[in-house]
Amino acid sequence: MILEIKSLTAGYGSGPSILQNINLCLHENEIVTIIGPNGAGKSTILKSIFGLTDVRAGKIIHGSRDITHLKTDQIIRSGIAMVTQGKNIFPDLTVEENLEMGAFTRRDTSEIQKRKQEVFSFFPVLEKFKSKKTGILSGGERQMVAIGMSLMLAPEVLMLDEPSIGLAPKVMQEVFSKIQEIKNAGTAILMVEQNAAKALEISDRGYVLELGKNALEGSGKNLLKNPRVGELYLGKSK
Amino acid sequence: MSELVAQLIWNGLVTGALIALVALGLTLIYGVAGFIQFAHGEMVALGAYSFMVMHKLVGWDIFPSAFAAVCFIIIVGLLFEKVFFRPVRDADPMIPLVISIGLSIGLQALILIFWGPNILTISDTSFRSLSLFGGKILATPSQIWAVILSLLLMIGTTIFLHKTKIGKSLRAVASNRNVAEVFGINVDTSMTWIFGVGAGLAAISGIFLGFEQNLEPMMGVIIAIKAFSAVILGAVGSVRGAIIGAFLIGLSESLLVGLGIIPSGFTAAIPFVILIGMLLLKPEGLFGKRFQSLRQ
Repeated sequence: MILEIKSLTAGYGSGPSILQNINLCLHENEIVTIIGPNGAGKSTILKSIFGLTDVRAGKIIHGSRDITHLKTDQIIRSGIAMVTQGKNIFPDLTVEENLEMGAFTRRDTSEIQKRKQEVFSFFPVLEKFKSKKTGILSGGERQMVAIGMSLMLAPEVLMLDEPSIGLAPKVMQEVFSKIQEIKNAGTAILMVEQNAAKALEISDRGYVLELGKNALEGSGKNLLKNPRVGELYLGKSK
Repeated sequence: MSELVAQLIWNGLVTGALIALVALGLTLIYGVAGFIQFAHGEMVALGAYSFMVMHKLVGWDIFPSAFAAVCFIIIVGLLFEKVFFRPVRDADPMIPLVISIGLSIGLQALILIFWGPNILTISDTSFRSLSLFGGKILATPSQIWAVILSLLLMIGTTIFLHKTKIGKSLRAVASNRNVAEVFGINVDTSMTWIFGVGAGLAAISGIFLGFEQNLEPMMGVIIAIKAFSAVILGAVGSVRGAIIGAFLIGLSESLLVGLGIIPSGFTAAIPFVILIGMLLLKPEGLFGKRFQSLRQ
C-alpha cells in the first residue's frame, strides 16, 4: 500500500468538520477515483493529504511514513503531487517556466532538465508551445501543462482534482488516456472526478462519498454496475 | 537639435530614471502582493534623509553613506512587510492599501518630527557639472550615475525576474498564488524578496533625488504620484510598462515646461493630466491586456 487514510476527520480553520471518519487506501499501480455529489468533501480529501486543511483526527500514511501533519512542501518532497482544480497553472509564465516551477522544490538542475524533456516527450504539444505564455493555450493544453508540472516531481502518488472539468469530450478522452499512461509508467493515481462514468471506466477501484462519509467502495466496474451509483451519479434511471 | 532641447531631454531622462526606480518597485509589489503600496514614496524620502544623515551629519563618504542608507531602507521595508502587511495578506486588498496610506502619513509625520518642516540639501559645491556631447549638455556626476545605475538596475531586475529561480517564483506567485503554494513556493519568502527589492530601489532613487532637489517631508509623495502615474500609464503590474511610463512622464515634464508650452507652475499637474487622459483613452495601460484581470 502506498497511501492510506485512517479514520480521517478534517475541516478548514474553525469551521465544521467536512470529512468524518474517512478510510481510504491506494496501492501501487492503481487508479482510484473518489466520486460523490457536490459538497461531499471529495476535494477536501485530496487537500487534507496535501496538508491544506486542518486534520482533527485520524492518520495519513504515505508508504511507511506518517505525513498527517507535515507541511505541503515536505509532502511534495515525500513523493506526492497534486493537480488542483480549475485555475491550476501560471498564466503569465511560459509553458517551460510553468514546468520549472512545478519542480520548484527540487534542487538538482540536471534532473530538472531531464524531467522536462520527459514531460515534453509525454506531451509533445507542450514542447511546441514551450516559449508561449500558458494563458493563451486552450483548456486541454492548460490541463496538460498542469499535469506536466506535477510530473516534473516524478511523484509516487499523483492526485488529480477534477481533471476533466471544462474540457470538450474529445479532449477529456485524451486527458483520461494520458492519466492511464501515467499509471502504466508506475505512478499511483488518486482522482476526484465529477464525470463519474468516464473516470470509473479507467479506474481500478472507486470510493463513493456522501456528506463527508464513506458510502460505498468497490472496483471501478462493480461501482459502474451498482444501481445506486448509476442512479445518483451516472444519470441512469432505475 | 538645439542645445536647449538636448539639455531638456537629458533632464527628462534623469527624472525618468528616478521615477522608473520607484515605479518598478511599486509595480512589483502590486504584482506579487496585490495592492498599491502607498507608503512606497516615503521609502524614497527616508532613503534621501538617511543618506543625508550619514553623509552630512555622520560625515561618511558618499559610497559608504549610500550603502548604509540602502541597507537601512531595505530593513525598514522588510519590517513593514512583516509587521503591517503579512498579517492581512489573505484579507481584502483594500485593507493593506489603507494600512499603507496610514503608514505614508505616519512616516511623513516622523520626518517632520525628526528633521522639521524646513528644506535641507545634500549637494555641495564640490559637484561641478560636466559637459557631454561637445558641450551640448551639462550634467552633474550624480545625474550620470543616476541614469547609468538605474538602467543597470532595470536590466538587472528584468534578468533576475526572468532568469533566476527566485525571480521566476516571484512571477509565479504574482501569476497564481494558490498554485504557487501547491508546488511548495513559500509565499512568505516571496513577499520578503519583493518588499526588499522594492525598498532598495526606492532608497537608491531617493539618494539620487536628494542630489537633484531639496529634502522636504513631502518629497516622497510627489515622486510616488509620478511613479503611480507611470505604473498606470504602462499597465499596472507590468515591469516594461512601468519603466517606459516613467521615462514618458520624466521627458514630458521636462520638455513641456522647458519649452514654455506649459507654465512651470503647472509642472505638478502633468502626471495627473497624463494619468486622466490614459484612463479615459486606454484604461488598461500601454501594455495592458484589455478586459483581462492581471491577477487571478
